[in-house]
Amino acid sequence: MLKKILIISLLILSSCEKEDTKLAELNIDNYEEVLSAKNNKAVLINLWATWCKPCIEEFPHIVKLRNKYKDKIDIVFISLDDDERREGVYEFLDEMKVDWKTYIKTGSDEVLFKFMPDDFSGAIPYTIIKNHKDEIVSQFMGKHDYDFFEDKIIQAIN
Amino acid sequence: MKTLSVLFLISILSFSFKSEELAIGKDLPKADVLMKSVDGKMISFEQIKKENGLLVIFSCNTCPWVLKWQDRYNELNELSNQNKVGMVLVNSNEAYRDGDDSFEAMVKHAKDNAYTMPYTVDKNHVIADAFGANRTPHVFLFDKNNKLVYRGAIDDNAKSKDDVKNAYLKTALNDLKNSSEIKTKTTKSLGCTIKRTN
Repeated sequence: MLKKILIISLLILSSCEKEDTKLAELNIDNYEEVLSAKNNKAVLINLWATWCKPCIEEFPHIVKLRNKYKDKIDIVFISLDDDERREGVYEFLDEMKVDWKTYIKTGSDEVLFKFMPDDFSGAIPYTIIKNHKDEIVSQFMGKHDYDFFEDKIIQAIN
Repeated sequence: MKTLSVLFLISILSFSFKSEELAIGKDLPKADVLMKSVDGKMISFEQIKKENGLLVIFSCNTCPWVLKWQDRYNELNELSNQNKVGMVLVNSNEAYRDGDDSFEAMVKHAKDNAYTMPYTVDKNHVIADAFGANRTPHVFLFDKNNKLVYRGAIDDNAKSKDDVKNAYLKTALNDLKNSSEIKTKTTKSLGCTIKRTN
């Protein structure tokens, strides 16, 4: 009986831990930290949502490039899905084999706009790429292909 | 030679400015272009416009932000009518014209949601390009002289109309009617990219 309780407790703990490491909340308290380049690496920030077809279509390119350049660039995915769709976000991240921390926006849209660059009008998908000095080197709206993303990443890491 | 150089420069500038949102104070573009509305008629902005101006909202059938905000479309049309401003929804998703944003789907969507205003096809997104519209929904409000006076969001809460703190567009419509200056002239809002073919 004790063994069963222990196994169930471990399972619950591991699922909680999975939630923390895969999908954290983005809110007014952590925007600056999440959006900044760290550890002398560049960063690519991508705003997306599960219902956004072009976002879903370009997502695998970014994941593939993260695996190729992970020593030089961090990838920060920010989902704009509503809280009700959180399970769908997890499912998609699992499907895409995302095994690093991503974020889901909480709080008002106005706070998001406050921390985004001026060029961001609100349309997604939207991508911002910063170099290791936290300087924006490119930002763009709409779906893009693998080669486009790779060119932009190479510019940022060199 | 000089004329050719000037024309070349203009074409480059036009191309490079294609994605810039129409600036406040600029004229209504494509005022006479005829668009097919869901009632089957061809109609232009000039025909829809009323005594005090015109409200254009770029919209579509499936974007979740449209689906959230569209519960305010009919009351916006009512307010527009009261304020003698014409209102129109424009669908520029040409890349989805064979699917989710086909004319037939637009007709069904307008009927299912009991739209009271024209909902038109922007063929090859020429209207969206001229406006620099980049998302749905995306609002452009023009005064009686066809000058852009407000651009951006409907309000600050897509999810719940009862929790709106800043009803930007309603305020702008009332200011327009009263010939008062619109204090908040541009706002940002989340939305889906307009599905262009290029």
